[in-house]
Amino acid sequence: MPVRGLWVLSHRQGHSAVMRFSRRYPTVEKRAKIYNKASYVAIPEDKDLLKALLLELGLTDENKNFVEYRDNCSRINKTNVYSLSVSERKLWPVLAVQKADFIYVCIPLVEQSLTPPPPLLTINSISEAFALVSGVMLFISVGQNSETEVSSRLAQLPVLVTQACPLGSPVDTNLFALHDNSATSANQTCKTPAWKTSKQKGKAQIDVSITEKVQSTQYDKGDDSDTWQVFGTVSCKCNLEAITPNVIVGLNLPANGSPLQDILVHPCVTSVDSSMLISSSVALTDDSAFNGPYKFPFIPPSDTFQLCYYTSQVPVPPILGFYQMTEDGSQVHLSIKLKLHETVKNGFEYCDAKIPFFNRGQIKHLEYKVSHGQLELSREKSLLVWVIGQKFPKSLEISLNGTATFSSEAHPNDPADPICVGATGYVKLSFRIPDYSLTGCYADQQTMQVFSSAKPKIVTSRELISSDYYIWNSKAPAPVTSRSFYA
Amino acid sequence: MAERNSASWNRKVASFCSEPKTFLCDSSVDGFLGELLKDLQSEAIHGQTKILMMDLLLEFPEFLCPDQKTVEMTAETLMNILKKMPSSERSMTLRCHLLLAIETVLITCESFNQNSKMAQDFASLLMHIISDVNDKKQGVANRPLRTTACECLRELESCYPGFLSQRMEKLYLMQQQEVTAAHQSYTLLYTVVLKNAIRFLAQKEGPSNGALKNALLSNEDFFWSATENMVELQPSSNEQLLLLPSNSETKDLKSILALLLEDSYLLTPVCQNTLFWQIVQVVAMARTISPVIFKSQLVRLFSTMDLSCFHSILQMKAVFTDSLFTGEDEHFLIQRLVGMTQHPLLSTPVKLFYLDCLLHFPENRPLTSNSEENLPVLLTVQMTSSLFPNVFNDHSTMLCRQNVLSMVYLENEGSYSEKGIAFLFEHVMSLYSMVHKNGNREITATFFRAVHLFVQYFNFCEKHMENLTEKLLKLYMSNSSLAPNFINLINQTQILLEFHVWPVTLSKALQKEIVNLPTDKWTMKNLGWHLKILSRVAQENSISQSSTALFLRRVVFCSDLCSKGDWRTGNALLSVCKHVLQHQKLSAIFVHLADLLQYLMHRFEDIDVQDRARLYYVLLTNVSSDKLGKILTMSPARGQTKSRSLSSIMTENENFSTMLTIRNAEKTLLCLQPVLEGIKAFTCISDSPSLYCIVLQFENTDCRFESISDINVPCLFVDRKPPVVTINLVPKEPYPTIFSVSATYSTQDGITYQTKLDPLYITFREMFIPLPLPALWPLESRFDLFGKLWSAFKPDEQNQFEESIFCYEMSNNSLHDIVLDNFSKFAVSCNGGEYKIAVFLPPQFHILMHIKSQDDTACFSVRTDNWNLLPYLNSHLLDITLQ
Repeated sequence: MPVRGLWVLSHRQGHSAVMRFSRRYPTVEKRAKIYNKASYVAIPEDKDLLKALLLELGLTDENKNFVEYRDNCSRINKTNVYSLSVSERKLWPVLAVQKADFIYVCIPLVEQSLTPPPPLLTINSISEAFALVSGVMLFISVGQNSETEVSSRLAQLPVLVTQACPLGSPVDTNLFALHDNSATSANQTCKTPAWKTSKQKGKAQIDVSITEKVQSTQYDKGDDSDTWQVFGTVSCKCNLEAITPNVIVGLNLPANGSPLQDILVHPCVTSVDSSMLISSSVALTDDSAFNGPYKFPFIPPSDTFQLCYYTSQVPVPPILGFYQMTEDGSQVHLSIKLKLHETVKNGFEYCDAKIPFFNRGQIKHLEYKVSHGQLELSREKSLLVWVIGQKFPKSLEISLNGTATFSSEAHPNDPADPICVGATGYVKLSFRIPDYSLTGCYADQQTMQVFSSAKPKIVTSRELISSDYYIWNSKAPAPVTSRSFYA
Repeated sequence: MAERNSASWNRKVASFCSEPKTFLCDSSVDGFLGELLKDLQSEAIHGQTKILMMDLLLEFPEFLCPDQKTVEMTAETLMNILKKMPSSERSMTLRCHLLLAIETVLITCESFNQNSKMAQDFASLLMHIISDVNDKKQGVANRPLRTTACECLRELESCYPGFLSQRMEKLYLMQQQEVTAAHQSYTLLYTVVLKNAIRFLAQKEGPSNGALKNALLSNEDFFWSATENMVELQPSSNEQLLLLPSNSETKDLKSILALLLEDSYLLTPVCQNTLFWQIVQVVAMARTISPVIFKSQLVRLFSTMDLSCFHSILQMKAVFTDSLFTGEDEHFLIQRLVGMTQHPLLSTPVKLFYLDCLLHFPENRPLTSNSEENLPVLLTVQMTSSLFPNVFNDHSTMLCRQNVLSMVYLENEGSYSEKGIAFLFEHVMSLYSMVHKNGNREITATFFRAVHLFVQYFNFCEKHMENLTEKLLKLYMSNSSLAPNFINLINQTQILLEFHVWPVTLSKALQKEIVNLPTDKWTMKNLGWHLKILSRVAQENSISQSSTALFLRRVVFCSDLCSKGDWRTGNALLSVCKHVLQHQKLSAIFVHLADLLQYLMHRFEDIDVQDRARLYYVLLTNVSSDKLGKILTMSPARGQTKSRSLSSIMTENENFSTMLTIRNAEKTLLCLQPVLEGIKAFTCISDSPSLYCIVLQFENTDCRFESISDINVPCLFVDRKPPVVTINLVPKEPYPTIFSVSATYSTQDGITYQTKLDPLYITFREMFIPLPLPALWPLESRFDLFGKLWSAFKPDEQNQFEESIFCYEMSNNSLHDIVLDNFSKFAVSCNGGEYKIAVFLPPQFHILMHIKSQDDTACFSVRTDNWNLLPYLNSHLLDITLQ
């Protein structure tokens, strides 16, 4: 169902906001007037819409500490759907999403009275509004973001949006893949997908890459407050003939692998085995229930796409660490130990431990001992980087001990942080292990099927990347990221 | 040339779009439209620019085509351009835009109807374009035009439901035949038409009797009647329309729907959502079709990462509840939904949307039917344990998660919930420590919101609340500039909790902390914030204000505030005083407050502050506390503040001055009516339902009377007996006079008015009084007195006495009547047509009359001790005799 309008405005701190794109749908507006009856509120001119929006998003009076309208403690934005004050009435629902320097706005048509406001769930076009906004957002923010490039993409928007959503009802929200005139010829008997499908250039090939990210928060408190979570994305790019490009990609787990949970698949996947969906991070399920192979039959879109997302609970974090840091006047004493789990592949592309110091000024003097790798002091002199390198030693354990002395003078660019005050601090690990996944998940050549005349080349890859991997100082209070009821 | 024209149009389009009304004010609509249409046909304009120009017609047709004639003309011109265009691939975008522009202009300007030839041509053209299924005739290049035409027809059908209802067979055939990517548009077009046709039949209620079959097989013309009344668009939900198709009809319809659903996976996600929504509505109306036909789609939708598809399943759940979703399905769906709200690979806006869906989850067996936030019954503490907020979340996520979990812990009792509440409190405390260590504005606002949420749900947990108060105090003392946040928190929690004591407890605790501060540099630096807090605390009648008054006195006496004379500080101080003045228990602090105000009015080195302090001092010492309250309580919070002097914004308000100004009444509501002859007694009559505190003021027009003091009338109600007022007149000279009368009164809304009443006339005759003699005096003595006065009033050159004679032709009887009517009270003797009249005129004058009748002529011999009276008497006698 349709939307009443779509806008993109640029908003950068310190600059005044500017409307960069605006598209209204008067035929939809006419229906809105009839459906909403007395509760109908007309969309104001762009400049007034912009003003009302900035006010509602709390982007006005940025130099003032407290503005009642903006900072009222009873005012909580529960979703990105806002109610704008427009000539003493409320324009609702206005979906507005801020990303980078832009605000993307869309107003869906509500086919009933707006008083009382119906739950968002019951507004059919709310998801269209989300889809349009995310489509435009992706188009504007992808790749290089130089001002000229963004401007040129903004200049393409009017034509693209008219194609994607000619009269307010979106037909496709992937702005990269519109304009598909000649992909399919009419000489076939079965229906082709409505999205732009792959078009073979050169040799037939399918790329499947699994990227797993591991998150961890470790406290070394001896209880079970440490957490870690793995989540994976399977990306896919197919270079196949256009006709009947049905593909099945299969993911396998080794015998001791961790089952994939919360699997979400791309809409081009044509069918899903329901047993794949049973394992969930929300419910305590029997892990033996299903552990692959996970099969995804799909009709490939033209570009790289995310075939599926999943999460998983692995029994141990890949690197276990502890961090002790104590203050002694202008000095701090550090002690860090890291241990790579024996089941994890000991082959990194890179592995660094960053040790930042906030609210302390610059490191004047440093004494240290590392059992492995090198310790570097950053240019700003408030960050230590322990470069661990490509491999842990045979013992799989490494340690760092040292004392840093800070200069008492403050510098304007010294990093400050509201959390890392006093001895509260962390070590952040960044690493990448190529050709490895923590769950054990891999794309299996054997289970892949392509219904095509020429057998395509299949290229698979996988990687494990750290993401928010923190080891907090166990000698000071640390923020809690998750709670366990079973401690 | 082309470059220049194009650039000029680019500029024009941009300025038009940003402010269409202003743009059209500066140029004539007709002229601009003409130019636009002309240049659309011009070779000298780039195709790109033409597309941009067309956007004006796509977005602002009602501005450009104000009347039917212009609409027809515009549509015709656009049609002609379209027809003349070569069907090349290059011109495709422009041709698609032309279709869209014609459609938009015709619909928006209400010209799409049977009477419009343009509308007829256009509809036929669209049907013609889409009939080229599978690019058979025009080739692949023409496909965008076909899809655009389909979209145009879908929009027509959406705006005029039923318009295509008589061409369903053809549309279905095309939908079935089309295999290219364009099939999506054909499918959606057919589905919308089908839904509208079924709704139309369902509105008639009862069994279909073949009407459905006829509709599905119809192949006639456009149903132009549908365009007649656009107002008949029905809301898509909240209605219970029913259609009962026969068995064979059900079979047909079911197979159509099954085919549509079968190919649904080939549509883009947004279009799948539209398709499902249309079919959901069809199935909801056609009761012989079971929602189970959606079953085959569910697993695919359950597993999707796409919001449109997942939204579809939630909508199906909302419409069909347990007729499509078993209890187990429902549980699974909630589990999926919770999983989505915390999935690390979904974006925050999407996750927040899912959280909102969770709180409005359409349950199979809902406990309440309100549209407020409700927790699904199947949601357990365990399921939400990963939703715990932490300080690394973005602010919205943090607060929304706290909100959901608060509801969960409130709903589920037991040790887990208790633990959960403690965890949430710890979370609020971790925000506290961030703010405590000088967090930025956003984190501060978030902290206060988290506190508000915590208070909202867990105000009954005394332990946590005490702890919270303590932490808040600590925060305020370390960072007093958060005063506005604190005041806001107190105000909002008071609104939220109404009778709960916590906001007062917090206020009281803040007051206690502040008043115990030493008057050192640090306190003085933050004095402005402290005063703001104290000012708010003073508004709580249950909190004693003596410590505040003492604190203020201490601050003023022991610092250099007064000598510095900072206007702002002075006013801040006075604003606290103002609120203290309104406090119910004023007597306890009277002396301290008076001391303070007196000190300020003498010592504060700012004349404005002095004045205001004096005003408050005068009010405090002279006005009863009730009135004080009335004068001061109306806070400026209500209504918009008007332009006023800066100082009045600080301490005064509009109502304050309203209380003290007297307005002129627009019309006279009051009048005085005499009640007794002779005595000046009146009653007040009013038109207004009730007037209060009426003060009647009389003003002399000359100096003949002593001035009359004001008369107070407490109140006057239109439906009660009017009060009587007596006016005491003391003449200095016995001449007639006029008093002007005015009244000041208050109305029910507390506003004071002044109004002029009719003047009060004192006539000559009204001053007549009988001789002031003891009542028991015998008649002879009076007769003797008259005789003696008569001779005493004999005029001569030394005295003021005068004698006069007034004669008038009248009968004996008439004279008798006149005397009886006018002078009976003054008659001393009345003897056979001869009368002796003695009149006393205050303060000290007399008129004596000896009246005789001779030969039908009445003769009034008059003697007086004030000759000035004679002209008045003369005219009086003329008056009465003429009657």
